[in-house]
Amino acid sequence: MTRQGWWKFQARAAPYLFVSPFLIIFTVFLLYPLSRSFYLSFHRTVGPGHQMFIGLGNYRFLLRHDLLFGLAVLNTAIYTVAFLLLQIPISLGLALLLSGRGVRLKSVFRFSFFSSYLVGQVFVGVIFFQFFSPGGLVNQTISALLGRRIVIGWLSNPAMVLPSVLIAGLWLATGYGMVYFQAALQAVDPELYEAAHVDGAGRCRRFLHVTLPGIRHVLVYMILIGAIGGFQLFELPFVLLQGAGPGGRGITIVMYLFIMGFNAGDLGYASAIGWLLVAMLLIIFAARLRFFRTHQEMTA
Amino acid sequence: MRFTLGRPVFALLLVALASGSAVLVRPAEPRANLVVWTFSQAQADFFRNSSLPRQFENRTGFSVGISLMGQSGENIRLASAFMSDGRGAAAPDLCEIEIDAIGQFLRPPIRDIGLLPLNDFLARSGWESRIVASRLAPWSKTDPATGRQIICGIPEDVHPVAIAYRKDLFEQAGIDLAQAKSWNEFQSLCQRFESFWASRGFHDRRAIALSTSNPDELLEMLLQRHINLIDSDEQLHFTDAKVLGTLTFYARMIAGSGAVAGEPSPGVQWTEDLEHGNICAICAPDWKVDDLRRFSPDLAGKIALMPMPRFEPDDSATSTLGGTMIGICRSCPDPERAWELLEYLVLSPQSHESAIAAGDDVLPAVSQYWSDPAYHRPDAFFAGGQSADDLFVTLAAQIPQRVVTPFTYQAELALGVVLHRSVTFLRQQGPEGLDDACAGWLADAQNDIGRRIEFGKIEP
Repeated sequence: MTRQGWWKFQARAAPYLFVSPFLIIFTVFLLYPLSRSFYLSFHRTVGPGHQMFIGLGNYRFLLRHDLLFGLAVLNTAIYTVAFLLLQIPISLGLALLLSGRGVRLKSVFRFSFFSSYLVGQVFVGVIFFQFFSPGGLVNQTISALLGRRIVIGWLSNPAMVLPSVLIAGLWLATGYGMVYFQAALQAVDPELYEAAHVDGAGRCRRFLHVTLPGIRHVLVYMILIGAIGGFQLFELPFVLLQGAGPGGRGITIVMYLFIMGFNAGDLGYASAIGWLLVAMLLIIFAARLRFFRTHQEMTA
Repeated sequence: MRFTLGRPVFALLLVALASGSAVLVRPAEPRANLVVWTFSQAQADFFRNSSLPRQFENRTGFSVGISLMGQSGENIRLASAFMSDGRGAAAPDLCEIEIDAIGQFLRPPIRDIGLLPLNDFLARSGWESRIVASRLAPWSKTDPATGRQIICGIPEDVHPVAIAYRKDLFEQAGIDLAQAKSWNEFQSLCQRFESFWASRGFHDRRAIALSTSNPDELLEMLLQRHINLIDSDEQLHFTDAKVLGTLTFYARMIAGSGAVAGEPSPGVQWTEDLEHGNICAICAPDWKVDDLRRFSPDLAGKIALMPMPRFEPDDSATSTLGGTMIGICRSCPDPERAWELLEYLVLSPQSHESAIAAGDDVLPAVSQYWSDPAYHRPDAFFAGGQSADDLFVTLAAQIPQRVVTPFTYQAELALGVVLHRSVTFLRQQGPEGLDDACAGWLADAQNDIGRRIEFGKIEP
């Protein structure tokens, strides 16, 4: 091959070579498993030698007959809504506080709030398992404050299960949201605040009419990410409750998927649960797109 | 020579090349002739610290590798190996599986189960008659063609259940709890106990630990009444009168005017409940008694054990909770040698002696070893030097048969939901209508699990 030919070959092959690592990894570890699980979701699978095509049978059974799946969807939906209703205001509030002019040691606070996100769900599950135990830090603190022994069954009382998971989840993710909101707040043009101030707008009005529209994109992004994270919740309750929790109150969609795949040994059924979860997430995503479109039309 | 993408990328490429080559060139660790997977740290330590594997190697020339892994990880790896039919991930030669996880591995038709049937090995070696028969059931599956029980694992334990209680506190209340022969008598004594301590300011002191967060104790009570929610013929028993009676009694022990039970702390923190006198009795299999000894040594001399009270005379005075088996994987190239190792590691007299020497108090499934003096000597940890193992040996002979099917896990989940609803009903609406409500929920649970079993059938 001539030197010119070699250069031509390089120029032609280089793009493919550069994207090939991603493509190979994507195909082997994502595309193939995804398509395989889609295929499996239409089958009843038992062991290596038995795979029976049952069409939409798994989906039909899940939606019509499976009470535990219904419970898992309900638990997950309640968690997600409660999580978003609390995480967004708390994160935004912290971001606003840290964006104030008089606040010192901003970086230290920012790192402190964000650091909980770095440790991951399993670690948080282990820590909060200790905190929430009957003789744990939380009950001890409440007892000390009230001056008598209080034992709240954070992990054993079915009514307390979702609040416990929620508290642990918020501790984990609030700092993450705060960092995004802080970045968004910095991008809001200060002149807009000055103009609003000159026009006589108070703090509330400035927040509603300048800050919120300014951080709208990040706000919607945080809601979307929070909703997806909520629907994919698994490790945190699984570690914290050591399973499905009392009365199945801690069972989530992904936990149920895990149970059906690895405790019941039905990979086809577990795959169907996974694809129903994908459908739910697509609905959330479509709702977000619709909201954005409507909002843009209104502003236009 | 110039590298057009710059020095940092060049350096990164060099590092990638060097580390990649090192990984490729590094020789793989040689696989032992026989590999055993275990999920239990204590068992792995026992195998490694005892000279059993080494003795086996010296005797047979076959090397033995013990691999310890997390329980969940082991189950997933085994499932993956069994699903790939020997073409994918390498399966071990022998593996230990926990009783709650065995169901999924017994789901395929018998010829496709990843574990080798051990009936012939057991019959040939004579171990079949020496292992507690009821303990073979959880690891077995009925062959629909012949009706024969196909045994896929050898039990390593029996785990009989007794009631462990704070004898000192009961005595201070003037109550001899061991006198209770029925659960009704037990409840009455517990009510007297709580009244006594409440009148002295201990309003939070509960007599016994019964959980609403999981149905383990309820399942123990059902087992002592010889009820498995799903039996070996996959018949469901949610709607049996005994299940309803046990469930409502259990709920009344937790809530309502006759309540005497408290929720145990999660994990091993329940030992602190007993230590602090917040909860004063617990249904304890032999391994939980070990936990008590290990985590609450201050309880020495304050604890006693008694058989479980009965509901009816034909109930057993014990139950069982937990359990582990060891089996041979179907892909093992030398099953005869693997069986020899299995026998040596868990069934042989040498294995028993090593376990005793290591201070392992868990009762083995081979009943001939129960006469060992080690299981009958006084135990200073218990009040009056009571021999806990002696009681467990007596109870082990009456152990009820526990059956595990691929749907047992879901059945237990469903029972947990019914239990929670029953207790909530009792707390919110009182005892009126409880029986009817529970009967309805149990019928719903039976229908749900029945539909699942029917839906999951692979064979006509």
